[in-house]
Amino acid sequence: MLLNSCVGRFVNLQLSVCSSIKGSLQSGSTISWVRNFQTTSCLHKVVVARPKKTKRRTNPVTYEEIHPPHFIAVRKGFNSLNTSNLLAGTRSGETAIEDMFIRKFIEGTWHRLLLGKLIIKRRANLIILSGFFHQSLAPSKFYFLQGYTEEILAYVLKCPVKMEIMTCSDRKALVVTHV
Amino acid sequence: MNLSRFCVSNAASFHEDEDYERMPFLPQPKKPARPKRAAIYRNVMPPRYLQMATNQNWNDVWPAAKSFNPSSVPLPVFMGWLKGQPRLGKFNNPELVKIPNFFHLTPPNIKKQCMALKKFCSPWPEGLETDEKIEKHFPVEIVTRDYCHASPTIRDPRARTITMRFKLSQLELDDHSRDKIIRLLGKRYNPLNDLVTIETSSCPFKKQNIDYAFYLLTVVYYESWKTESWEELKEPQDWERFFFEKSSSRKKILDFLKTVDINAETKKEDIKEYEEAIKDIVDNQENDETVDAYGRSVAKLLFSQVK
Repeated sequence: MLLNSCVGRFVNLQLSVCSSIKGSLQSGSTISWVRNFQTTSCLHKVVVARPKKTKRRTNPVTYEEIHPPHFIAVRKGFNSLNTSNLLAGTRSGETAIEDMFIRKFIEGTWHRLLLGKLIIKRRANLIILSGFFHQSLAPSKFYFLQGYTEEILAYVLKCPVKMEIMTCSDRKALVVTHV
Repeated sequence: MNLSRFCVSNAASFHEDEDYERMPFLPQPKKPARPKRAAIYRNVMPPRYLQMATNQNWNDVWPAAKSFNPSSVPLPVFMGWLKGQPRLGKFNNPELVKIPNFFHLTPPNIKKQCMALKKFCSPWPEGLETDEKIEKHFPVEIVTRDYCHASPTIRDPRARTITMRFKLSQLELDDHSRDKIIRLLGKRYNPLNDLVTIETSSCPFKKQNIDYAFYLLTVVYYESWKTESWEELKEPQDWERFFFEKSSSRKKILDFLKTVDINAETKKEDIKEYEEAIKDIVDNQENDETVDAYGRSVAKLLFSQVK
């Protein structure tokens, strides 16, 4: 789609340049205006990360989903808080990969329990994982999963990992509206 | 449809004899629906803030930094924005969990932590009350930098860079070596505040760079005291300021005094005045004032005897 739109743009550009040359030739003057070629990738800000809308407004969406990415730090916060992406921050690539690994790990380990998105906060070498989990497990199993996750992730990521768990009895607790 | 009607009409004959298997093409009787799994209701404790006393010690509730917990915060907190809807409360609100909070930094908590740290503090050393005294006793200032990241490593390549600062007037230098050290230091010397700044980052570690900076200081100091053979070629036109002792005008004035049989020792003060006047006119600006002062000093030196 992106490629098509780019090609379309290019064709339009050529046509406009041709017509301008033609016009200038007819009028007998020299070309004084040259159009620049823009290679910046499209951000698709208008359509990106929007939840699918339904006819009868039956699609439940959370606060996180209803606000598109350009509202980060305006109406909603970051889901990963670290210093890597600040100016002169170090190891931004490693941090991003680690965050994706943690999210996948939590998705599998806490299967069907995590509501909404996981919040990954980094303070010094400590990684703090916060999230809302459904109360469909016995508390003892919650404690086991918490200890298991902390131990395994600390071993893999070579730094202490802490989980701050919040639980909800309702699976749709984070839903704020329907679209 | 026809078939089922046929079955119904002949139902009596089928059911009477049970040895017959049910015809496979007949519709299967509907299975009872699978029983719905009963929802598990656990006894969840009510939020903690409902049981909190109003005169409790908040430090016990929130002793250290942690994420927001709605059941322990006895405040009506709201966060978020939704079009045409009321603001979201503190329960089930991930936005409140994302942001850092300062519930552990209440004034009594800070005071308590300061009191706990106080026993590790020592009094300020005597004799170092003012900046001037500190500068006198510790003339060299070394600036090091540490970087704190949210990452598993504390290493940062930028932390190796160090800056050494001192005032040039702290070094023991004469006219020649002071001029030479300024030329050697180049842009590292700031004439406005007389400060020398040496920044080193060649070595991999901070300690090595500090040692290297002291090595550079030693080298540049002793180098400035050396006088090379080519430095003797420097002519009066190259002088950065007027040296009366080495100048031809001193030689001439002494020769003149000798020819008119005047002892230079008796004219010592006049020669000093002449020296000041000529230095002023060469080093600074030539204007009416300096020219007048020069004229007066010359007249006093040469013709005071005549008067």
